[in-house]
Amino acid sequence: MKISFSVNGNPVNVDVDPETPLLWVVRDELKLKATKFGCGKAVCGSCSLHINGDLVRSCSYPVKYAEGKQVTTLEGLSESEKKLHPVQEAWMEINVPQCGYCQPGFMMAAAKLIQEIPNPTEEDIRKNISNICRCGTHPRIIKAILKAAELNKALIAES
Amino acid sequence: MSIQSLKPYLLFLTLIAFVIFESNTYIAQNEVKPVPEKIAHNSSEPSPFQTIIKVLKSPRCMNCHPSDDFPRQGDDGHLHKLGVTRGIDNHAGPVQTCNTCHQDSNNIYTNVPGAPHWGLAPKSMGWQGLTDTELGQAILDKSKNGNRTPEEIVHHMGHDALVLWAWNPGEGRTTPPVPLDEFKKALEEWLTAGTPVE
Repeated sequence: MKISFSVNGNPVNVDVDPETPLLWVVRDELKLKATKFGCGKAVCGSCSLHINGDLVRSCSYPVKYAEGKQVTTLEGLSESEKKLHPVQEAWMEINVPQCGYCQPGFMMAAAKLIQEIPNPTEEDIRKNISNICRCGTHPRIIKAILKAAELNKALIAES
Repeated sequence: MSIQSLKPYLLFLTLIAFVIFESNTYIAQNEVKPVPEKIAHNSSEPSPFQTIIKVLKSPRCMNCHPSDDFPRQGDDGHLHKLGVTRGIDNHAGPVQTCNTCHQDSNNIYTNVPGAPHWGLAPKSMGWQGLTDTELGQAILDKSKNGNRTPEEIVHHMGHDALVLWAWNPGEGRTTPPVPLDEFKKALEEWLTAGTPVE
């Protein structure tokens, strides 16, 4: 089945089984490798990306539902490599990752969080992001999200 | 004691015996006729309302009709994993919503259940802790049921895609204890009977 949608602003057409998880299409058909396969049960959040601005576990999202929609992966989170997203800036500043495998999913969740909750508390972060990091980097993730929220506010104030 | 002196008592006893005889005759004449076998069998079956309640109280329905702010999972009704809560519009969020994981159909790879407009019923439609009658009253109460008339609530229960998902819940999940066609039949009979809640 042919399915058309956009990924990181670019139109794409794929001819795949409509039930194929969007995760596999993004990774194997479109060769965008940031989005990761973790649990395969929509639990761990490693496969998180945005669809029409909403946070989605792509391992549990049949590609047929992406028809006509706008998909954003970590590769497309920032405007360019020269102008990173506040979440990416904060992640580097706090030096969040250990093994790094789950981080793209966390970063996509973090980007959605500071959009929905511009002044998050630690509790807001704990309650609203259920992703799992087996390295246990959660304390640094929380610091980074608080930092990202600050950077984002500054960015909005500048503009 | 002479017979003469017993006469009033004998008259009284005779009168009592007559009354008892007549009463028995009246009861015999007006005795409820034996119920035909077929009807007697039907009367032992659950009423349409009882059939409907069996469905509404099944885990597939109850888990998303909590009286508090926490969706449930499984046949034991445990709290939804990942700390999911009702959110401001019954669809969790604002960061992770129901649609972060649940789509319009059951997922054949992850076995995550899905159906259109997946989410919790509004809190006014919380059913936990209600008796059968209270539940019946609640689903008929327009202040709680989304301002639906009895006809509309029956139509909702018999046609809504999310309600019907209960009979197609995905591998490993039990369905309501009443087949869908029997449930729909009970809904129509209940409506025809005036939606009694007992």
